[in-house]
Amino acid sequence: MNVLAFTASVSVAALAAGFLGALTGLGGGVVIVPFLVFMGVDIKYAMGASLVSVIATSSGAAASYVKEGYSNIRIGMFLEIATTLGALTGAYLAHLVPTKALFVIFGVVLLFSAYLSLRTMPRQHGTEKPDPLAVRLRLDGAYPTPEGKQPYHVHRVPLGFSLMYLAGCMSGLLGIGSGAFKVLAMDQAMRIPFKVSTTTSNFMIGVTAAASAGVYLHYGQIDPALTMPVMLGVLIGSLLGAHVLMKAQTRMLRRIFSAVILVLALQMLYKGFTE
Amino acid sequence: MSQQSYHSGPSDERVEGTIANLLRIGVIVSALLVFFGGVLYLIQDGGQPAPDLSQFQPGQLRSPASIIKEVAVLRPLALIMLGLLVLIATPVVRVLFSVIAFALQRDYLYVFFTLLVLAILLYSLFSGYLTGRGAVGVRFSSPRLLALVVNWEYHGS
Repeated sequence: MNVLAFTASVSVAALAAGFLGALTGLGGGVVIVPFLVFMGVDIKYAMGASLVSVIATSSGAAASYVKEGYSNIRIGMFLEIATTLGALTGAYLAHLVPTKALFVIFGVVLLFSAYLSLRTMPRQHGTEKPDPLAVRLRLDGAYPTPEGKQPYHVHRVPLGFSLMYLAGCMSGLLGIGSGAFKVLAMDQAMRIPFKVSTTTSNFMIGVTAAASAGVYLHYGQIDPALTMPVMLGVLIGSLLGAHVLMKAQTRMLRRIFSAVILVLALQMLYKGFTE
Repeated sequence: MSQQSYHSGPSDERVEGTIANLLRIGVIVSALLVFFGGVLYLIQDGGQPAPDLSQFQPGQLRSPASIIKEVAVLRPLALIMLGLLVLIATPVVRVLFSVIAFALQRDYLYVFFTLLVLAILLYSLFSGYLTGRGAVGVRFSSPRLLALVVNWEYHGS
């Protein structure tokens, strides 16, 4: 295979991964890494390429969410202290952990993320009492709904902060955005409205990924020939995915794609236990 | 956000608008650089055998300094890396801007938080180059990490 054919096939895979990632809400990274591994790329290069594309898609999407007032910048900035510290830890660990173990961890994380994205749990907001710590940190906010601005309170700040550190570790360790874990921390632990959680998570992913990208760069894990088609493919794929998402029957889509993710996860686990 | 009564300076909405534009410009500039570098790369080396990435070996372009040196002679892969550097720098610039915005709003608690994040980001980007051996050696001392430092110096020289 020559450079042209290689670039073309990686572009197509990245386009599909970005599209899939946007539709499932998992993000491009968690899908592109197993894709590239499947194509015979060393997981360390795959992680580097994935991490960079994560910054591209997150920054691109965050721009519009921030403008519309969904993302809560104070929550984002505060929790980024935890995610960037976690990302540094994870990125250093990624270089120490044996490749086999990376496959196993990745497979488990993939399964868990797919499970999280499939589950839907509607909850009532705004009825609870304010949390004193959240009030002191000025985390409470309001977000746009069809009925106007809906105020909300933020709860269990220390638990959320700790979970964010773990989410950052995952991101640095595996070269993914770990959006599913960030949403879990905000939506379930801190009881932040789902829409605010997902958009603030998106806003944070770029900064988290940038923290580990510096480390990846030092270690030479970011290969330009591979990252070029991956980044452009994932970026375009996720834009298309976000566009389709607005009109699609998401429940059906999620079911189809969770099957794909299950296959990818099993493949990663298989690689981890056999090679 | 609803706490504007706390603050003077630019409104949260204005800050949000500027952050959104910053992010958008960063992604567009980066994607253009990567695309341009990619086209050059394919024109020059499109017929060469594909790079073997099945075994990890640290690449050549690993520091901003080496990337910029190679960009000067228009090496396609260095142009791509420059685009990727712009992309990595975009969130850093966004955080830097947030520091200024919170300072203008006299929200000193958040100036502190944002500075903390900025420090972590800059540490990640530059620590390896400043000490010449990676920050790992300074911070940890377990035998495995020492092995890593030795490895680092070996590859980094």
